[in-house]
Amino acid sequence: MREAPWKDAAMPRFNVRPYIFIAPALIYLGIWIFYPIINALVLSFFDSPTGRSRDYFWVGLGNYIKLFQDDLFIKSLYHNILWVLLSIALPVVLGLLLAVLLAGRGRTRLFYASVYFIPQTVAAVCAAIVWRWIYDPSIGPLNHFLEAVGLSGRPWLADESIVLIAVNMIGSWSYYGFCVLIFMAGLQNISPELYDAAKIDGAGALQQFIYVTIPLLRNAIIFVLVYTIIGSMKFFDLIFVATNGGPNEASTVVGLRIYWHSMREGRFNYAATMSTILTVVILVLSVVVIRQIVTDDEGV
Amino acid sequence: MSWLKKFAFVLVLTALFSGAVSAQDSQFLEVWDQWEFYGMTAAGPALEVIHAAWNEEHPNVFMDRSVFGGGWPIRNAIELALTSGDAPDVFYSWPSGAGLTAYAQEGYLLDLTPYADKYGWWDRLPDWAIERNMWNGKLYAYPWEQDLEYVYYNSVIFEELGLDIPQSWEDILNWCAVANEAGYIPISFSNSPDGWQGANMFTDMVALTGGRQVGLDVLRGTTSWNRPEVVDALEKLLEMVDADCFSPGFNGKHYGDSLAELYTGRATSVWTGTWVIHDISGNMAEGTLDVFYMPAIYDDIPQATHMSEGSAYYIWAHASDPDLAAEYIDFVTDPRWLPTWIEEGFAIPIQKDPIDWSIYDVAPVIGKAFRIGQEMQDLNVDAFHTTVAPNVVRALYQGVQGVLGGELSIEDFLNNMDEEMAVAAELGQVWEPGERM
Repeated sequence: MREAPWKDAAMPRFNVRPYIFIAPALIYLGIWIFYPIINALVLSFFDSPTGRSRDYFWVGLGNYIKLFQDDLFIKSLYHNILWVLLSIALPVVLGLLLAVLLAGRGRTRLFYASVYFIPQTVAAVCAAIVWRWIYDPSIGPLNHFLEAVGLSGRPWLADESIVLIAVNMIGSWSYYGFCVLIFMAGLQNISPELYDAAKIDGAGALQQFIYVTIPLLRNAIIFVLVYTIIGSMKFFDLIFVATNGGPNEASTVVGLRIYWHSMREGRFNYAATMSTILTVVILVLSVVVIRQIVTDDEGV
Repeated sequence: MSWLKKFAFVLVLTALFSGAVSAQDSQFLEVWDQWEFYGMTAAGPALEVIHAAWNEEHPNVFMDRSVFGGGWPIRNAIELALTSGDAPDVFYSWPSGAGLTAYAQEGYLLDLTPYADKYGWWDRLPDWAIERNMWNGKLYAYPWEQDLEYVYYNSVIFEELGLDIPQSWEDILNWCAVANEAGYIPISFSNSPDGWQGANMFTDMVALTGGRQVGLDVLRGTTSWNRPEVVDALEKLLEMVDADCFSPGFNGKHYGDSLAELYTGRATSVWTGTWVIHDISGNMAEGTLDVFYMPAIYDDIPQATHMSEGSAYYIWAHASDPDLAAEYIDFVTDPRWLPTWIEEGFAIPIQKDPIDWSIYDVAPVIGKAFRIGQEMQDLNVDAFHTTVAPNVVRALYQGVQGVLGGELSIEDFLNNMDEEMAVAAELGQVWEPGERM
């Protein structure tokens, strides 16, 4: 008796089991990630004088044209880019340096890592309120300290030229502990023999850091950079509470504009257009960073 | 049919009919308001008393009440609810003027005109309040608590510094100089994170440099914002900034922090309004609090301030029982509850006839603040930020911040206001004072 062809071992058999296992994750992502992204994209091609779906009418790329003529949107996007750079310059770099310094500290490194991580556990809203007081020009301890050491205080959150940096410092204070933790985990995977070999080859501390630590921390660095870029581009809560984008839009970011247009003006389609552009910018930046690092790695 | 079956049949019928009768008798009313127990709309204690009476008189009405924070939280929630098609029967929120126009245009609101006729609301409300809440000849909201802006000051510090209540522009600048010399902040001022405090001061100043008609003209979009009286108002505020009249770093300071400067004696005063009278009178030591209105600056423009309703009661166009919703509004705004609102809620209802303050058990300073402001009601300017469309609000908040911070020219700010007004006009969201037809 001949075997049925579908029972032939050479024929690939459809195995439903893996799909069942990933179905919950796919359904979750579908509902909460993919559907909103696609819906925002669709909404961005329509407009509505009322904000209600029954009044939508097709405008094609009209919202996108309007968006790129919107000076405030361009300014917000620029602030987001600055926020990304500041967030990389301070918490990521500081986190990396602290993690390296802690690496040789035996058991005490866990204690320090925990201490550095504490600000991360403080809700952004609470951090904003507390730092507002710290920054207060009349009663804030920061200006009192500066004046005590002979420097002049500043109206940190009222000065348009420094407000974005001042608010970013709050975010950095919250975030650097997280970076320390990730880099410490990465450092644990680097074999001590590599450092011994480097020492034998005459490498100093800086050369060990550049030629051993950095390349072998590549995955952790990619993760932190991408995570920082995504987080910085969609940043909202801290700025909303601390300054709401002011004064005079000097600390406004795209997330705030989206909130304002959707929740306060009822212009959901315009807000969806901003969301779509923001998603694209995040994707592009993330891909560029990942590709750059992967390409460098292949080049090595 | 056995007796058991007959009994069961009768039982089922009884149950069904009693259920039907009970369902017919019971009514449901969903209400969203902002009457909290502290902060800017702290009339919660008053409303509890009024609701207890309502429940007693309406035992079959099940009321589902939600309380939201005053200001933007209630407004955001309402706007989401209205656009999603599932709103409460009655809500108490604050957009009038352009905001109300937009709601009414979209068919979100029930026309309250028949109820105003039925319950005699026309006789309870002054014309200015009616005008702010009408569209196309129909009344769409019942404006409730009165907002006025003036200066709360520490009378003990004023006496210590030998200061009198300012009677002129020179007096204001002198007050700033004397207070600064003595190490006090003359006027506590915060303009962050929203810039509504600066927007209110700007409105007050337009009332003093241009008067009510100028305010009406710019709000209705019949004239450019870039006109001499408005420019003058901003220049006057800048003069105050230059004279160090305000808290250092005011553009980065929050409202509560500026109030704290008054409470702790660091500031001689705060320039704000009726909406915090409960908190301020409760936080100041006895005998230290008094109020005054900013004086007239020019001989030919009388003393005035800005005013509006703090918020207003609305009925959703698709309310389950519009008559019941209107009855509820009439109940809570009934004149018999005036003592409760005033004495227990520190909220002063908008009334057509002047309130006789001698009969109410409130601190004299409260009566004084409202009496003076209401005497000027024909001269006062409508609050800019509660009257313009939302897109103009953002330009107003951020623009006043920019001008007072010295980073934005007055001309650029006012031209930007004109541009935003043009956008609002395209959206049909420019306020037109309504008239009863």
